[in-house]
Amino acid sequence: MSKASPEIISTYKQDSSALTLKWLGKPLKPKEDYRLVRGRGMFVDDVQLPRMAYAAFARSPYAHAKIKGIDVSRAASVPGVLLIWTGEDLKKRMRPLPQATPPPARNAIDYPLAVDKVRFQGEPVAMVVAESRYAAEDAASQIDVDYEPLPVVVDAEKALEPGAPLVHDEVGTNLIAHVHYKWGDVDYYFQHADMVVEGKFHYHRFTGAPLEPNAVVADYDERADIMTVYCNNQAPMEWLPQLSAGLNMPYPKVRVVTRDIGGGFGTKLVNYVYMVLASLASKELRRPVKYVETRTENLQAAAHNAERTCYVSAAVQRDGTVLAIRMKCLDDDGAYARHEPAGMTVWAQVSTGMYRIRALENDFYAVFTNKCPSTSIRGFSRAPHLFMIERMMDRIARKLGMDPAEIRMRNLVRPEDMPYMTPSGGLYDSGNWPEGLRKALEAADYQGWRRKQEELRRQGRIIGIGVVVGSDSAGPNMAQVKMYNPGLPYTSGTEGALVQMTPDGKVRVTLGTSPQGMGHETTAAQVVADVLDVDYDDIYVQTGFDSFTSVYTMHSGTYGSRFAPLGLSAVYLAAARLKEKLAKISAYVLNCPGGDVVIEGGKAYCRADPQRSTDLKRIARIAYGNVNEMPPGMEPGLYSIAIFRPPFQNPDENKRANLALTYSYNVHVVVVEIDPETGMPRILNYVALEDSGRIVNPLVVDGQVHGAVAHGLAEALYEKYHYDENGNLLNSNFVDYLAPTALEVPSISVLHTETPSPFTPTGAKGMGEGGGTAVQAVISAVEDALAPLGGELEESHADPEVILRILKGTSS
Amino acid sequence: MRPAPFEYYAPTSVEDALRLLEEKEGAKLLAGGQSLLALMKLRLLAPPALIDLNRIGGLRYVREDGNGWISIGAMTLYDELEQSPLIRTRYPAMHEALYRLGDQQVRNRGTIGGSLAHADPSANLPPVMVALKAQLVAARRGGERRTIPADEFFLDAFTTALEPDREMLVEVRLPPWPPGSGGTYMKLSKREIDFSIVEVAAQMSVDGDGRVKESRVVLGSVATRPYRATAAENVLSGSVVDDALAAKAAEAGTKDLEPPSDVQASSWYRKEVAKVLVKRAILRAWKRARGVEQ
Repeated sequence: MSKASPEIISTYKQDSSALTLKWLGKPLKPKEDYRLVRGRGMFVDDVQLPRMAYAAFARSPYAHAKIKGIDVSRAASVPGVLLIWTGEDLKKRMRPLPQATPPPARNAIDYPLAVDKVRFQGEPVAMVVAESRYAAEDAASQIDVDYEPLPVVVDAEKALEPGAPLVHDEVGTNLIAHVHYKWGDVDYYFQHADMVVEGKFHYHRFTGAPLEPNAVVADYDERADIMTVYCNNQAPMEWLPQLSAGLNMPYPKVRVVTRDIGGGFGTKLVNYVYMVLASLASKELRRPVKYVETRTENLQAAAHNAERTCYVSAAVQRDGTVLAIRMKCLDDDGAYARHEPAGMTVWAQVSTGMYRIRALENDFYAVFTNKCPSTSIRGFSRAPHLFMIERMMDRIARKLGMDPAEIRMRNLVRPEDMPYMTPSGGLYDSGNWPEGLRKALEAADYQGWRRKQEELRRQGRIIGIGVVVGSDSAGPNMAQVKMYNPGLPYTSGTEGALVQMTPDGKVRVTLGTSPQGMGHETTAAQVVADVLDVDYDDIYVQTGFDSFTSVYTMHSGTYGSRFAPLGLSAVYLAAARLKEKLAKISAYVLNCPGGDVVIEGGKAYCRADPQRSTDLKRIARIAYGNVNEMPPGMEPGLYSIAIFRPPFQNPDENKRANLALTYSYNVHVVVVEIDPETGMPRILNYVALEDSGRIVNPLVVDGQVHGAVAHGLAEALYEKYHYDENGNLLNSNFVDYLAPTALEVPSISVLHTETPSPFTPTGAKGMGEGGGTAVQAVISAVEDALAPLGGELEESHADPEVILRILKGTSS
Repeated sequence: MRPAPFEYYAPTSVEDALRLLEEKEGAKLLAGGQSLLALMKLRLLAPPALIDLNRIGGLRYVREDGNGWISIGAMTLYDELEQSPLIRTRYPAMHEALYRLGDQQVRNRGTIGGSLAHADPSANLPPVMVALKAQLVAARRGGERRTIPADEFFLDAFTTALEPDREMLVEVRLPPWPPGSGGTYMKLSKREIDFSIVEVAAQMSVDGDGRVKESRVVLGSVATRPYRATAAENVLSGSVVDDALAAKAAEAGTKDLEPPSDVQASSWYRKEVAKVLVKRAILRAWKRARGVEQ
């Protein structure tokens, strides 16, 4: 809640002296796009192997039911069927999936195929592998399961009531985990504040809906005794332990490969269940096994975001200063804890948002229900928390008769307080946030729209203006999971990279990350080109991740907006080390006075005598082949490996810690018009200002902003899962689950401020997720439109019917 | 997303198609496949045989007959109809319904005959056909033809007056509307490409003073078949339309509606919006009939 101490700042400060700033910041054409726009991407379904077999699943039509028996005889007689497994068959072949939850939730038994009972609609009950996908689906549709339906629980609050149906009998409760946070003197502020403002909010259930569904090809090579798993998992290293244990094969025998991935948005963190199943089947059959999810399977059973309900109170001064926040939150994590309850810690600790709020208390529960298991969807956990805080800001402003932009300006962290330490120990790295807000308001003609709003209202037109600020906390410190389970041996947040100058003077780069369309090949190449000062076109970045060739840690992957702060930092370090070696060899080869050499534009020359120069290609040949020309004693080759380690620490006994390396900042100003007779909203103006530190490539950054806006808009107005009281998902295809198209997404004005992060060597910050700012902005605008009617929105989704009911003053 | 096994036939004449339809029990006719194939891939339908009509010549046309009628072959694509100047100038309601039908991929494959025979209660074209007083021509074996007025064609959700296993739709005939006529189609949906939550087709003709001589107001997505709001038509009859009259007609025309509820909208919302759309459609259709609005 104040400027961080100089000691802490110096721990985090990074050296960026190897940057030349010749290649960073340029709108270079993304390296990936040439193949992608021509339909030449390399996705899992493009993997075609000889003798490949195909998997399909029989899935539960019930949300909760006992499996009394499974008869596979009809299915087994379908021509081409090679293998049918039920949960019982799987139980003989593998241990249950490990649980990251504390006891007693840890007692939950989770297999990729249901054993004894099903716990959500769409849960796989049996797997068929056959000669063709058609045969596999024909057989899967003929598996006869005898179900005994059980009482269903689909509401997180009801799930905690005594006598609620138990999702996992062996757990004895539906509580997954409970964490209580209290930072600062919350009680004091609530006693002494001028007023207390309250609200209840619900962050609804939706998904990421990537273009490419979950997919895997597992290929067991009996001769080499190697299992190759082509997958589209976002963090395959996180799951290698499970694969290795399930297959009883050591890491050097299990090769996990990702290539192009058609979007992930967090949904692909938990597709390891299919990786395990396909691998086991491939080993059993000694044939490659492919599985590609259908869209219905993806929407119904892949991964939803955790729904969150929060009861929030704010201690507020009459001048608009927000002193403290107190809240109770419940996450509905669905039927299995496969990724969650991680959301209990991600941003729960900085739910003070972008504001100088002095104290925070959060009583947080995560709960099992009979719904699809949840994971981290784009804007994970920050979005719901920032939603709460931004909704509260609007309510407080209305109570005080203040302009919503003004109350934000009053509470924003000030530039002179940067780097800023939050009550929970979060360390906001840099930025001039009030300046960003001013710029965005001006660009959106905020005052002009306020006047127009009044004018048009007199003509019967309903206009709403939303102004919100948000943040992408990026590059997570995984030690935060210790807040709900102190025993987890998983801390920090690191990433690896290899930069090699090959003997022809070109540069090869491998990354630890598994990008899903974020342009890592492009931005990594820009950093390498910038540091080595060689041509961008001479940099070749390997597509995707390969555990046999990529440099990794157990954190490796693409999630949590971590590439810019962690991945690019590793790339920078590897390139800087390589440059040092190139300089040493060049100085020796050129015999530069004092060994003082300059590497520039793909060449090396003596600083004292620039005529004495060589191109780096010659140096590369020397390093690999003409080794006797190298400095004596120096190791040949031009390999450079780096693993970036941020100075993260574990949370202390009060759960105080910095849990992300960088904090991007954004301001969205949106104007909506609502049809007074139908409730249909229409976006009239959208301005998004982003400060993501140093911009590596503006095309990539703007693309991410566009995507985050589209995603947020989708969540606010189009995408929402509807479960009925029996746990039936009512919208599991694209006819009913309304992912917006280009026709729905408005034109977006993207603005930037650029405040390099002092905590990363490149100055770049993570920014892909957008922090859900668009959700908050759109809902804020709709609520602003309805405010004169006293309408307040509780949920993060407002469809035209909800809006019309408010306009007409009728409840549902 | 793989259909269950089925037999596939590709006849080259209407006669052969009808013979197969009679012989192959449970067979389905395949036109553009924009609904049928999706249902089969979801395994909601598993017909034992498909009879593909795409190789039958002479079912794709839009032509004006001598007497002012327009005839449309059942296999004519949405896109071809949307691009047709004849449809656009003569039947703006139909043009708007086509323009707002699915997305371009759907319009490139879907056919008018397929849509009408499928009789989805939310499809764009059925209310338009009723509003325009279209005649639908069914073929039977032996060259026999039967003409069914659109009013009598749609019986229930996914059920038409076509005799199962014996008849197929081959042509749609649109009657001439007199000078001083106009119409419109309006649809409310969350996304542009969606089936409507509510849709309205309105068509009317007016006299020189703007008094309504004849009108047809037909809603979709609010009942199991196109819903003709005759009470609205009665209110309009003989009157000059203004905002108040349109509102009154809309109120009367939607009073008895009991629309379905689904995941996109409740019955309440459909009814509220139906009223609004009917009012707006009447106003625009009238202005078009008067020639004061495009």
